[in-house]
Amino acid sequence: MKKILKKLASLRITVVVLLAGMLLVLAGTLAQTHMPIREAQSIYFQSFFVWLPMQNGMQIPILPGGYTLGFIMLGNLTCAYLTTFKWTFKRSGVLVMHAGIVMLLVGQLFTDLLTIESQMVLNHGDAKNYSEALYDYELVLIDPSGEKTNTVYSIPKTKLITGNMIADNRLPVAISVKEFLPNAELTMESNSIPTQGFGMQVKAVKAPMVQGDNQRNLHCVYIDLIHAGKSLGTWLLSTAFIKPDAVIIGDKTYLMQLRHRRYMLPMTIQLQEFEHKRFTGTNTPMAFSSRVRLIDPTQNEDRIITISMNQPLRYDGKTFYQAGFANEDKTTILQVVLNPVAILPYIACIMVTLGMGFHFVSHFTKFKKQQTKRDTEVKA
Amino acid sequence: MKWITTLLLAFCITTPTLVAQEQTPANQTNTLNAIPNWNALGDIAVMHQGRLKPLDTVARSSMLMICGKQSFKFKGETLHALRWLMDVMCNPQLADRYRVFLIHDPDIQALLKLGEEDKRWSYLELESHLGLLASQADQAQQVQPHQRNRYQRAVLELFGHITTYRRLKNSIAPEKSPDFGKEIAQLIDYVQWLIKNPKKIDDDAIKQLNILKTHYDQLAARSSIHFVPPNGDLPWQRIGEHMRNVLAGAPVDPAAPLFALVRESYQLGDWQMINQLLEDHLETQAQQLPKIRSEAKFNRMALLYNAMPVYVLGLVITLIAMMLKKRKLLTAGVIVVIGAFLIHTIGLGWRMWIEGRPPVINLYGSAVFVGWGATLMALFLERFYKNGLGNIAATLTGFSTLIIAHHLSLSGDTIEPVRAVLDSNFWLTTHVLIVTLGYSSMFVAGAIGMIFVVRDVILRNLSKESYASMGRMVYGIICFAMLFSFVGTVLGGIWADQSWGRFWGWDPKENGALLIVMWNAAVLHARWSGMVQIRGMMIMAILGNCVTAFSWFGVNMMGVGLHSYGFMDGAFFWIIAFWISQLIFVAIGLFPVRPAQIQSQS
Repeated sequence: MKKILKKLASLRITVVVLLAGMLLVLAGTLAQTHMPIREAQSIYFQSFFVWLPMQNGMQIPILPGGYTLGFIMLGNLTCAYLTTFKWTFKRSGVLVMHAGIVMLLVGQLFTDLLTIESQMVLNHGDAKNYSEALYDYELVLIDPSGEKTNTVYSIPKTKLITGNMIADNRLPVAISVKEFLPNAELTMESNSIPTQGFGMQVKAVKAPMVQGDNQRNLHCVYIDLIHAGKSLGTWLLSTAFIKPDAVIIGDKTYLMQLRHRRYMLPMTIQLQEFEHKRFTGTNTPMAFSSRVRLIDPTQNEDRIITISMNQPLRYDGKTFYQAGFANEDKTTILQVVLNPVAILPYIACIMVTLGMGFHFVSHFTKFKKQQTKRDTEVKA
Repeated sequence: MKWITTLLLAFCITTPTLVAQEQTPANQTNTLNAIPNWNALGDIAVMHQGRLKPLDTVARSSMLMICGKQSFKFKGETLHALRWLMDVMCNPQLADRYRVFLIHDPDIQALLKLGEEDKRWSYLELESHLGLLASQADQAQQVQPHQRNRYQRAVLELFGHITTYRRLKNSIAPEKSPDFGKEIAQLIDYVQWLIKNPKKIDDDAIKQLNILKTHYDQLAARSSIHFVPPNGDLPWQRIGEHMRNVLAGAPVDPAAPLFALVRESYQLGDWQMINQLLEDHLETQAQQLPKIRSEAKFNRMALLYNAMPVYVLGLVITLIAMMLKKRKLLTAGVIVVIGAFLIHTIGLGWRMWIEGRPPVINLYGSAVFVGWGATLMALFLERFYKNGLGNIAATLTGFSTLIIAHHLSLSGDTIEPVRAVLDSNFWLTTHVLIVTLGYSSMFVAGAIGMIFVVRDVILRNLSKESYASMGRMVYGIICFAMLFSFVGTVLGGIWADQSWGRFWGWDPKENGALLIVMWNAAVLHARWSGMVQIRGMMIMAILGNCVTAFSWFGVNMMGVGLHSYGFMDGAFFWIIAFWISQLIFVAIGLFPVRPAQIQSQS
């Protein structure tokens, strides 16, 4: 057993994994010239293998992915500490450094798994108490009859598959998904498939999915609503529609919409002013910032904050960054990030830096002493 | 006490550069009454491309961009950049005949039917092809930047240069206006008369005002230099812009009529008048904007450029000293290199003071700083080992990075306004400087690696002692490179987390930095495991140069990612050439001969 562990602890494995890692990083970097960064990330780094699609539809693995290399490295390091590592004070720098590296790797894994990124797009004067997912979407039925709050029935994207029947006792109605279009081109033309709602005036033509960092797919879905065994009609819904359709189910009116998934916030954020300064005579941005009003009744807070590049707002465990602007500087785009393990890399980095610093400095002092000795020998 | 002597001697080396090298343009023709005072013209403060700078900088950076050099010959006379700019603005018909437009691309030469006898062409020669060039540029513009081919990039570049040139021509007055001074004097009178007699503002007057408004709007759009200083709420304005504001009732700034007059006097060659006009203007300016004159002086002294020959001198002396094994000559070599380093340092510090920023805000700054850091490190090595190797590494890295910096300066003003994302002096100081020092140490290690393989495999003159000591040198530097690269990369992650919301995003520049860290880790682990011996480590150190070059420049050429503000184009050839040169050294190192020192023992 110990023999096997010792083999697994070999520094040769470390070197090979590091070199393979470099190859992976290089490939994942070069790939970004022809694919969006998000796709490159999931193919190369957030995967166990990098697959090369063949002409006959087969896929062959050509490189170990980021997860595989990360796990091998962790295993290699663990084995080294179980077998060959000398637990002395002199080696403590190395220990701290490696612990930091482990924390970095694990932190990155958890960041991949736990981070939720969303956006808040605010026009001048807009107030919102939610942020929206960039790529995730949902079908919602809203019961607006409540006094203070609405009841929202949300159907996640995983259920919105062509041919799926969504029936649940908690829902006021059963939904049959007739066709789901991942991306579509929409024109204002009459459409004969839907029998109800705004979608009757919109033609949806299936379009290839886009992957670019600044491109969005317009998802569309045809659904039938079935109440008490009877079909209420066919609707076309799209994430491009601004207003929800009003639907009468039984004796109640509901609002129905396909929209980007919303993450509710305990507070409301209102854009008061967006400011964009450029350098005189150029288009180079000098600074941009959003002045927002934050209203949180649960905390009894009502205040004005400026969010700018390098100065985010941290609230409710989330961080709000100034990400962009649109609409001739009348609209601000805030990036909302929830990352419960955001602190890990900070601790990890302090550990690695201190560990490495201690190790190298103690080596350097030793080397300097030897060098002085060599010098005196030469002179003698 | 010995180091004080060394430092004093080194300082003596710098004096010729510091004192005598101020390149005052020679007295040139077209003088009528007085000696031309080019320095005064160069000292004029203007706002150009978002930054306040002396006219001298505008002249040099525009001319470097268009022409690829800072002076050119016209009818046997050498004209410097400022003279060129003044002619462009004041005597455009003459300037149109100057052959300054550098056209490298054979396809463009063929397109414009230019013939191959020259690489530089005048505006007059290009003028008849402008329609063709514009339509080609328009087509190239439709292609995504990183998908454009060499020809498309060259077309866009040339078209950009022509646009720059035309906007310079109209910066003081419309290029064809014979006496702009009179025109604006009349305008000012007219506006003031209207203000005094508001009843005279009838339909005709409004029509007239609208025509004038369009005229000055067009002038503003066609010019690029902001000559009129800010006043009240108004920022720096182009002269057309200012006249437009005057029409709207803003007070007249004396700068507008002043520069119109300077233009006329320049056309007449009346230097007495120019000197007189500028005297008061420069005095008030010197009180309000003290850095402007200093920047013009900095340009004229060209310290970073002039440090290069001193580095070469140091290299030559050191090589001779090592060949002849003369201890004292080696010391002289070290002194010369320290002198070059001092010039380099003064240049770096002066530049920092002018921009009020840490040294690295763009690629140019990084080249100067990488060289500075590498030279400093190599000089420390020299202090430890006193064998001339550190000195050679210092001159190699110092000289080549300054050459790179010089070529980077061809793409425009090297002191740029800092974009919103980068506007944080704290992170620019910590993250950027530490990463850049990481590059420096990689290059020092690589330089020593190259010296090692040449001595070990080709010259075969390594003693057992220097074999081991070079091994220790490179090992130590790689440890430092590892530390700098890691800390710098991590600080970058923290900055990204603070401003973009993610610690690590697999962006090309981040990946480049990660590659350096991983390479260093691989080298050190390979050495500890005995997978490589000393020569193997040297070979890996040389390969480290390739990794660093990719991280420093290669990823910028991809033109993608959040860091693409450091984007650069034409250096692709050079980076390939550099990689090949490094691979040649690697091949030498792989040559199967036993270490020279072992052979000499047997």
